[in-house]
Amino acid sequence: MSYTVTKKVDAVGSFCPGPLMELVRGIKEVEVGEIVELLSSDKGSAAEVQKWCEKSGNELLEIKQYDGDTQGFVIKKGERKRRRRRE
Amino acid sequence: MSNNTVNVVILGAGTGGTIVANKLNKKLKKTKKPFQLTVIDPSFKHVYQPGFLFTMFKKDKTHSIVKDGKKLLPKNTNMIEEKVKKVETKDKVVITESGTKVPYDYLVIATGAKLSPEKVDWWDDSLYHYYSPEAADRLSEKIENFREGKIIIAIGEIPYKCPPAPIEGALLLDDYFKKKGIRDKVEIQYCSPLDRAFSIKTVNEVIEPIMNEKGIEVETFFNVDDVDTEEKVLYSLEGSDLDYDLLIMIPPHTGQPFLHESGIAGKSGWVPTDRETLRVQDQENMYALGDTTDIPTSKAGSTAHYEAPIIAENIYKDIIGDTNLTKYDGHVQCFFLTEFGKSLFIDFNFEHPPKPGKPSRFWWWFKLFFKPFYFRAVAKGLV
Ligand SMILES: Cc1cc2nc3c(=O)[nH]c(=O)nc-3n(C[C@H](O)[C@H](O)[C@H](O)COP(=O)(O)OP(=O)(O)OC[C@H]3O[C@@H](n4cnc5c(N)ncnc54)[C@H](O)[C@@H]3O)c2cc1C
Repeated sequence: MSYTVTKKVDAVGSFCPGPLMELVRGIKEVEVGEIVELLSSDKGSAAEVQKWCEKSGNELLEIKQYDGDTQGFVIKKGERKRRRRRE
Repeated sequence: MSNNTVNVVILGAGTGGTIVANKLNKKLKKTKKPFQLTVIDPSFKHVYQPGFLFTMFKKDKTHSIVKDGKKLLPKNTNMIEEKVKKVETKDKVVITESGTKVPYDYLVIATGAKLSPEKVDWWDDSLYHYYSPEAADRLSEKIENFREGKIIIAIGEIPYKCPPAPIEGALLLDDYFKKKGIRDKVEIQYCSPLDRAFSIKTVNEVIEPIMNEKGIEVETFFNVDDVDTEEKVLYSLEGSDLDYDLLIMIPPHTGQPFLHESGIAGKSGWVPTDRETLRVQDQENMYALGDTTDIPTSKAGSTAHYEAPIIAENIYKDIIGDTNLTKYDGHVQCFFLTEFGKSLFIDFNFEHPPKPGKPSRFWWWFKLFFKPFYFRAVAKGLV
């Protein structure tokens, strides 16, 4: 799969709910269509990130396995389901 | 060390700073070396923050949860009533807003968390919360006069102080309106940024069913994105929008800005702290405790209480040349109020998640007893 990661969020060593909250922060900082990679070593992250992407309309492109427990979650920012008031 | 006197400077006289000052005072006496303990705080108003959950319902008075912090410190403490502006870490000097320079041999950072609503573009000062004495008082008027409609409690951003407090607020609102006989006219909704109401799974397994039973609607994966205070609509990053009549919004938190400006902390202001030795990373003779650290545990008074003796011990050991540092194991104990008259008790550390029992009257009474006990014994470092 070819893509360019716009923002890498390193949440290795931070425990639940740390990584998901770091991802939320990262997603807020990029534009629709851009890509965030979240690095996490928390075993709970996979299920949580998948569920969150489904609910929030962001696309989980790939889960990479790095050394040890570290996983990389590659996420493409989706179109917001509802427009914000000020937009 | 100037004139052989050991200068220990503590920034902040809240829960962590006060307990550590009292514990250190005893330990430093044991070194038999001359020492000077200095505490710097802009007001020395010591706030017992768990009391906000009572003042917001007018079940306690603000003056009984805010005490003169100077009276809780050792008498021999040099107390400087000023805001810290900067720490010159190379020269080991603290600079206050008026320009006073306070040199240190050991520095303890205990400046807590700052409520930083300006961090988000959607904050509006008309929003209600109960994370400061004034805000809890303002909310108490609103709650007292609330007759019908929908109340939402939402989290501005993670991390925030005392993770149970927003859910406790929702549970106590339920009981308050039940006792007033108008619960059927008041809808209560709790918005969680996570896929469950409470972050710690074992506690959530007890708490979320209680919320369901009491008819408190839990909206999960709700990360606040915007608020329209005129139309009274709350928007999430996940694409939900919720109407409300009263919105209680926990404000975003940061560390104190001078920590970033002094090069001690990153932009968020949370101090990078070794979770075992409580030493500040990449700094010499510097420790941190309480809400200001970046340690992945609850920002709670209880955390600061269990961290304080570790810092006192480690500074003492450093002075006497003992290199075997004492380690913090992540111990935290918390009450979790479920109604006026019942509470859970949770106890955990880095290795062992909490195993909460059931809410009981016993822990409720213990919680009520804890406030006078806090001012008489806990803050003074007696326990
Ligand atoms: C609603 C609510 C309920 C809570 N319930 C509980 C509970 O049941 N159990 C529990 O354990 N915890 C509870 N807490 C959390 C607890 O109150 C805090 O975690 C605790 O006070 C943290 O202690 P601290 O010393 O880190 O910070 P604080 O006690 O906030 O003290 C920080 C001090 O630093 C000072 N300061 C700030 N900036 C500067 C500066 N520039 N220079 C010098 N000084 C400065 C401030 O004036 C203050 O005195 C609750 C909090 C809230 C809001």
